[in-house]
Amino acid sequence: MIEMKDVSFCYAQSDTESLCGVNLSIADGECILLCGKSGCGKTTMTRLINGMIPDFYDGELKGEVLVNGINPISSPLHEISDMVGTVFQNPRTQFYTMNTTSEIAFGCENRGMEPDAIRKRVTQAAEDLGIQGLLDRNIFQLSGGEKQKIAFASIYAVNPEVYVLDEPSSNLDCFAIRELRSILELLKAQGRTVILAEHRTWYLEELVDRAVYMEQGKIVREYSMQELKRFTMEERIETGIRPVSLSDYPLSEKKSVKSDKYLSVQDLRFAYKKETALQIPDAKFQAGNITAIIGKNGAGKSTFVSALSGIFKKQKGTVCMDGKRQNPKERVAVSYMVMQEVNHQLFTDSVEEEIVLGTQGLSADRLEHILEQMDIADLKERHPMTLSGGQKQRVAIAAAVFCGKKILIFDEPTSGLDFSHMMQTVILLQKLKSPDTYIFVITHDYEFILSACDEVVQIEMGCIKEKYSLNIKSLKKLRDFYQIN
Amino acid sequence: MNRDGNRLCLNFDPRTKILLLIELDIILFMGHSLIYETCVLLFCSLILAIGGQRKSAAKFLTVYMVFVVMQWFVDPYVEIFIFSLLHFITVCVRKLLPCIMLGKWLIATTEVSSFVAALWKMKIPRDVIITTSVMFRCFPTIKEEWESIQIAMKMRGIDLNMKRMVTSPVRTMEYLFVPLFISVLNVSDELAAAALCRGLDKPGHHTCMEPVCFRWFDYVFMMVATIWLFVMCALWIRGYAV
Amino acid sequence: MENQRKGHSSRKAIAAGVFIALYLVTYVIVGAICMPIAAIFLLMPEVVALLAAPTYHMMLAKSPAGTPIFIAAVIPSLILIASGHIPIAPLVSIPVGIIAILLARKGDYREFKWNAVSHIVFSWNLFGGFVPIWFMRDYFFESTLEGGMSQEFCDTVRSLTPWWVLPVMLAATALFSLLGSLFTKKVLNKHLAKAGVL
Repeated sequence: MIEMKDVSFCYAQSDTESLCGVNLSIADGECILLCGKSGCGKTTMTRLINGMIPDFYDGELKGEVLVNGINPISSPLHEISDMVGTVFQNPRTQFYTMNTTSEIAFGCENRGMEPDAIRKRVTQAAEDLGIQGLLDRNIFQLSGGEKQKIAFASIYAVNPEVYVLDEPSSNLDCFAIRELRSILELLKAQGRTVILAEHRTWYLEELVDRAVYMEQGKIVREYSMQELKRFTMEERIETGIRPVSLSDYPLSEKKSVKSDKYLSVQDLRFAYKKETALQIPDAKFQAGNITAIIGKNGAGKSTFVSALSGIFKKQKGTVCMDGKRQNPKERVAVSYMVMQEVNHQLFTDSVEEEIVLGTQGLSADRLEHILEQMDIADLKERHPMTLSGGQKQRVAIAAAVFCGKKILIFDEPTSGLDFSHMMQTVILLQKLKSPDTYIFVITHDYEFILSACDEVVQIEMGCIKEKYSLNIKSLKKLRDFYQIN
Repeated sequence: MNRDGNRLCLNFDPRTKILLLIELDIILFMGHSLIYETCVLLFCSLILAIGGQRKSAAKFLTVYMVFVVMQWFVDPYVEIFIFSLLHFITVCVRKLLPCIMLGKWLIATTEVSSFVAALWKMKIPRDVIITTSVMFRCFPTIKEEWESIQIAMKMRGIDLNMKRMVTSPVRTMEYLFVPLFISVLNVSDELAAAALCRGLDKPGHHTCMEPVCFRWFDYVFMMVATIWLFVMCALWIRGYAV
Repeated sequence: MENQRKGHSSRKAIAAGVFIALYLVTYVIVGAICMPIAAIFLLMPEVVALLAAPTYHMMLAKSPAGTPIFIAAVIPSLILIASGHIPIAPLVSIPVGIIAILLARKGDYREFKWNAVSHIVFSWNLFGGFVPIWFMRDYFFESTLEGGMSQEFCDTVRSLTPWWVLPVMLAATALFSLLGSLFTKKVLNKHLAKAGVL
């Protein structure tokens, strides 16, 4: 069904080959997982299959690719889209329309189908995927998981033979990932071929037939899900493949930093357009801890950290830092948020300038020290936008550390990271712990929480539902939230 | 055509709506007497009432009547400042009420998808339709990106305010435009990828799930408005004022 | 191959749509700030010209064609009609749009120099909403009061707009547009080229 014979590919702007002599054969109805560290070539493989190379990405190709007997390289993208449907990573920017029903009908409309036939397909897709309740709604008001389901429905309505998914779970919470799993089960039952490029493997245990592990553009070997389940921690760090079974993942011992400083919150309230979005009567956070903030999508996690760091001017209530009451403006001056969309916070054209931005009085020694600490010293002159995702993140953190910010907030720092990079982020965050720093991390990443966080705060409907120190005894609470038995 | 209980709601073709808006706007400015204005307003209210906005129609009619009555009361006292102000307000809002009504009706009752379907029906070039439909869809996304960038700017102490615009305008504009453009370009690329992978550029006919077509009421209203316009133009050329 | 080219034209059409949306957002935000205050009411086209220049150049960089220019020039005037203003604006914006296209076409939509000249003319499309101040004086002031503007506002604007202000505004808009283009060339494009985006 899908054949790759001796395929090598080099992107136009790059010197190194992204794929090197790859040979792969995928039969009808198989569910294949492409895994490996970032940059191993799995995304390039998906782009060869769904036709984005060469229409979107220029480069030099050697070897042969065949999908159902058709060469996706020489065929136009719209022809390949009849056979290969792609669901992308980012739910927010996949949509062409603003209405869910129009979105599902989009693929069919492009093909010139009759209106009656389109309506039948849309209804069928909604029924099969269980999203009748999402029909005829404004897409911008849906949660990430719901948006992803609409994206699936849009492809489902066209009914291709092959589904290509590029990290579909990276922006989803665990509940949405379970729903994603049931969609994949449906596709598998219908005999569709599914190709997934993914880091997260815990939801794929029963679905994937083979896991193809890649390294630096070459297929190293294939694993079964059972073999992946038996990986040791060292093997995980080496291959970058996330654990298949979360229930066995160990809680690590963390170096604790003692501090007598507190961030206390009293009656913190925030209303968004007359609707109360946040209501925290009483909470206390100790400095020197890494606090994980968990909750379903839309529970109010971002609202909570935004209010805490003083971004919202119209918030009510008091926040005291180190015993002194701080109004929102003062808090903004000492807070820093490393956003999920890192591009929104890079403003200058060199790493050095980026780090000292907004500060007066450059201390060259301090700058050098921080560059060393973050392992970006050789990137000093580079433009921040040309760096890799992980490097950009380190630049953002370096900027926070340089201006001595006390409240550090991270929004999903590990989404889309393979296991070894996730562990590197853990180490990085541990380095930031200090007796007068408060670190908050909004995250869905179970392995990250267990490896890095001292405390867990669960937000539900704008209130703190649970708040506990993470230890062997309280681990059960976290596992209950993730529904891990 | 929907019959919602005992409420009549006609789904005008988007093309009809646009034509009515343009024609009635021009018709409105061609006459000046109160009776004429009232006729235009009544016609527009009729359109709104059967076009799905009964409450709005009633509301606008009431506002109109209130303003007419107000003007009648205020007229003798125009020399006093506060009343001349009131006079201006009532007269001006009143004069433009039909325009506002139709504009609001158009925007409120037309789905983007029907509007786009009408564009396809009119055989407008594909690229123009793509550009126009993407334009609508991008407003909320640009707003989200912009808000996110503003938060980042606040945290870095480089947020936009008048003082910074005046003291270091070039730098401020740079900090404003660079992340904005880069995120907008990313949005554009990702949007294009998702759309093209679903066959956006398939050659051949493009259909729409909700087909738009002219029905009897479209023809009736368009005819009435067009004839009215011709009559007014003829009168205007002849030099009559209404 | 022909279909691949078509794919590229759709991609450019999408990029054009995104940048036109950005232009309209700029227009609406500047309008919302400048319109209500009499003293800076007349500065609106100038400020928009300045802030929209980078967007215009980027739009042409990613989508070198005449259609986006026309759509961007005409849409604001259509918005004015739909929101109940005098339908005179398209009489300005349509010719302006066409001239802007012709100017940009001289450099095949890719030469910065011609695009900058094109933007000067393009920025004059906003005058569709201002022209009535001089040519339909009474009507304009009456309709401005519709928005709830005060009599002092109208008086201030009336006093600020003797006949010679129109050409001055046109010249000022051209100047601000050039400043915006200069900023784009000297600062922004360099930055974005270093970022690998341009």
